[in-house]
Amino acid sequence: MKKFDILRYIKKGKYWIVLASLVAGMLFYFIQSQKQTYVARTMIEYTYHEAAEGKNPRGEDLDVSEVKSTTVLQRTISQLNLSESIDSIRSALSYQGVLSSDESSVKSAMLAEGKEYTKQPTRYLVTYTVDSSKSSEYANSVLDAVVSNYITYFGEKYVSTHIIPNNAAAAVEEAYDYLEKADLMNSHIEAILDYMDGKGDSFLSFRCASIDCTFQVLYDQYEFIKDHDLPYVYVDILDSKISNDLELLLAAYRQRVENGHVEINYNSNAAAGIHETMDQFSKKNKESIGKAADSVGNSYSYILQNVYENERENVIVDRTTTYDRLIDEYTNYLISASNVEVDVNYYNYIINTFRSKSTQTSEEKKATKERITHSLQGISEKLDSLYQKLLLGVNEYNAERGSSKLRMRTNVSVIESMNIRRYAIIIVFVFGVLMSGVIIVIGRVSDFVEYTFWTDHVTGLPNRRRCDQYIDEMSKNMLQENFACIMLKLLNIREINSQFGREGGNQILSMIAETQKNVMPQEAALFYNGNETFICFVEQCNLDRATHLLNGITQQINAINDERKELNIQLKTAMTESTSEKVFNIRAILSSTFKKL
Amino acid sequence: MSKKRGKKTYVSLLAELERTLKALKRYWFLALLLVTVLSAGTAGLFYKSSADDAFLKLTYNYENAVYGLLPNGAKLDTYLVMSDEVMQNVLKRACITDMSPRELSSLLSVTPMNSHTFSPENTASYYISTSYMVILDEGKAQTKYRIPRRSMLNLIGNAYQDYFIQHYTDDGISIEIPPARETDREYEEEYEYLSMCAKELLSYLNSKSNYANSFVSESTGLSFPVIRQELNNLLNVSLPDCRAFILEQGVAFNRSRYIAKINYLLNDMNRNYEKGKNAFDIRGEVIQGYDGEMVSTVLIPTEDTKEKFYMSKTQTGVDYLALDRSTSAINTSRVKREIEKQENIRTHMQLVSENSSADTDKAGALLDRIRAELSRLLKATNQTNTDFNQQKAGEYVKISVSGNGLMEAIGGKKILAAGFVFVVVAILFVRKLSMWKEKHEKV
Repeated sequence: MKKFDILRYIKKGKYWIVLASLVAGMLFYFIQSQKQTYVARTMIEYTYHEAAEGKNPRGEDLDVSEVKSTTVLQRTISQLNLSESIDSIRSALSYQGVLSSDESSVKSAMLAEGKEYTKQPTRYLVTYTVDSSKSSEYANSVLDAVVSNYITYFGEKYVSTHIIPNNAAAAVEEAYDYLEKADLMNSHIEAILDYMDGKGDSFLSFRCASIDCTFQVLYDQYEFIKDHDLPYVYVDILDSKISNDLELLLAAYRQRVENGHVEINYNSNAAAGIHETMDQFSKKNKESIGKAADSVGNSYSYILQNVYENERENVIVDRTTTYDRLIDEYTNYLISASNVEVDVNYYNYIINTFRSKSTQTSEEKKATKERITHSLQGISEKLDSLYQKLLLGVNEYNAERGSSKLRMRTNVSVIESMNIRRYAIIIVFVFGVLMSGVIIVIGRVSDFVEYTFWTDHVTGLPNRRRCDQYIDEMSKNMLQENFACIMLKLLNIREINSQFGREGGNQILSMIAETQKNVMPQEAALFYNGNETFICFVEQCNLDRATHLLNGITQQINAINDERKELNIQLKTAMTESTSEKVFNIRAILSSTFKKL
Repeated sequence: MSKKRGKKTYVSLLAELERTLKALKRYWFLALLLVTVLSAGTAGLFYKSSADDAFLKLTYNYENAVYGLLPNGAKLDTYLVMSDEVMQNVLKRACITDMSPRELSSLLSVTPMNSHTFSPENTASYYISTSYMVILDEGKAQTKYRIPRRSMLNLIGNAYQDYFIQHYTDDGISIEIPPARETDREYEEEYEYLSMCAKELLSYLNSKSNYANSFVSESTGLSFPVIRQELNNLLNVSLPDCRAFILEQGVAFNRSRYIAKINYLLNDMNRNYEKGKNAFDIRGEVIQGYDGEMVSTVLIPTEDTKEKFYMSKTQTGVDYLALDRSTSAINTSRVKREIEKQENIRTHMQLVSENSSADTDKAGALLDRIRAELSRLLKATNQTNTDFNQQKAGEYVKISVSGNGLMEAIGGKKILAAGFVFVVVAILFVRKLSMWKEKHEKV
């Protein structure tokens, strides 16, 4: 039986091992790819002071779930032209507060001491998970857009306010009288100017890349319209007393005058009431402070110490005294009464103006009306254009302000739920080892079968059954040219057996078999046919080569005989070559050779 | 036994080596030819695959980029490289008419380069990349185009660079200066408008002069400080001269209407003045009547802005009243100044009943000259700024397409590695060839 040589088996089954390993790896890759999920992650951080107390910049409770709000997701879908629904994106989004390792240590220490840890996380891990039907790039881009839109949304909602609505367009609607239209435009401009003024110098000097100018430029443009364009409209209306419905206009202004008087009375009465209260409050307070001062020695002892510092640590509380509150309210009521009085005078001026007779003819009035309409239309268009620029600029400003309070701390990175490539390589390797084992076992079993059933145990060559099997197989087809059959027969086996015993005979047969193995080419089919006869079939072997091979064997046997004269191996040889003898059937060639033997 | 086997192996190895060298000596030309052909073929394949693997690299070079922000402080959104505006521009430059911007953007994907997998708890692992990789997957395209991948990526990079410069960096100043005199606009009003535009341009030039003091535009031959100097001449000489002439000569387009408008403005301003003055007076009276005994004050030793000891006192209502009154005083004075300014204009306009055509022509000519000069300076400013941006474009976003160099395109390192393998293959080949020949020669 053949030696147990692992490498021989592996070498024999190497293609099967490689093929099976690759197929296993590919199958694993294919199946797992269907189950793969991608998780896009990024870290956002609320950078303002109140965030650590769980508050938004307005001082209300911070709601991180707004990252999944409809507005944010709708903007994302629109920005990336996605076909997904808001719900499907929302369900794949999640967030989680994260404490740094230092913060976690502090928290653990405080909890261990039985203290409450009130600090809220300011950093949040936001994730978006997609299945294998989407790519990692898709997950990356969606999460990035969601966070971008959330930052803008956060800026709009908490950091900056929405811009006041554009009322200039309403001012040209037919429903209003000319004076009312002009008033609407005027109040719109004043509201915009107040809005920009209220934002402070940093807002006015903010340079918007989207409109290529600062807000100051827009402010100047609004102011110019208010000071130079709109007054002409008023001049035309008041000088020519232009109105769609004079009676209605006068009635409206009369009503404003009456309301004004009511307001003046209200403010004056309120101011008088507060003044009286102040006097009484002041009198009673002085009495109580005086008594306290007399009993202690000085009034300063009644000032609580360190109140200011203690309060400072937490939320700042309005500690304005009641007296100062009253003073403030009293002043405001007086100023309101005074302002309304000025407005009432203006309303009376308008009433008197429209009551006086116009010197213009109806033709002149018509021309003036057309001019007013044209002017209002022109001003409305200018205001609308300015408002669009303002909107763009404010959006940019909001985005910048939003980023200053909330920003991304990392790029979006995508991790796979399983590193399929790595595992596929491992699977290929493991399968390679397993298949090698299987191949070794199979190889060894087949060696055993081969040895038991198909091998002559004396010579180690394939036995007669194997030879018959070979002949049956070859007899199915015609032989090729240059097919040689070589036979050897040991003639003096009886003498050898009687001289050296059966063991010696077997050794001689084994020696002849070994000699043939050495001389015959690798592709030759060598059999021991029993009765001390060896048969060898060689393809691609012409007569010369066959003769050469046979001579080689004879020479080697002769050499053995020369070396060990006592053996005296006597061989009879014969050979047949298909081309030279025109025999192209294996049985015929075998028969021919046998006859020669 | 093992020594014997080792010696046998050594001898057989030497014999094998000798046979191989002999084979190489015999078939050296064939081996060389084989290596050359294989190397050339592989280089070609690498070149082809390099074209298929090419990607666009966007690198942001400004300071805010490391925080993931735009130059103006808003969040940087690199995915806008796939925006309709950029895609439209790319299609226009590539002369592709049968493809929509959305279809082109669907072929692109953007991923940050050098992006680390971060650990949420470890702040040191947080990282924001300033380089991004834009990949173009032409295979997905339903509408085919005949532009090489590298050229397409270059077009995308250039279009995005322009988009970035236009939207996120200083792209000049937008001021509307009417090309000619508006017929219904008064001379003095037009002076006001041009004066306002000049001041806005000056403000812009001041910021640019600080930022790019030494830059001289090749196309205009001007620097920002030079333009600013010319504008200052306009503001300090030409504009005041023009206004002086208009007021002194009472030049008006429609005098009565203009005076009526001034009257309306004065009415309006007087109302505001009256309100402000009343508020000022009321606060004064309240301060006078403030009962100081109601609120005690204490002095607090502190420091002033010069870091000198300063005795501060606690705030009370009278402090706020005083501050509010002071604000009222300033605002009312401001309104008063405007009233006086308008009254001055009205006085000048009322002094003259009618203008000679020489006066109106001269006023018109002065304004035309100022308008022309202002337009020229505005144009020069924007052109200088454009030149400046072009020079500095790479400082904001640098674009590069991978595989542009020859060695990179044919895969220089890869071909060296492959060359080594080919030499081994060639040796084995000639060895086998030699053995086969020997065998046949024997037969």
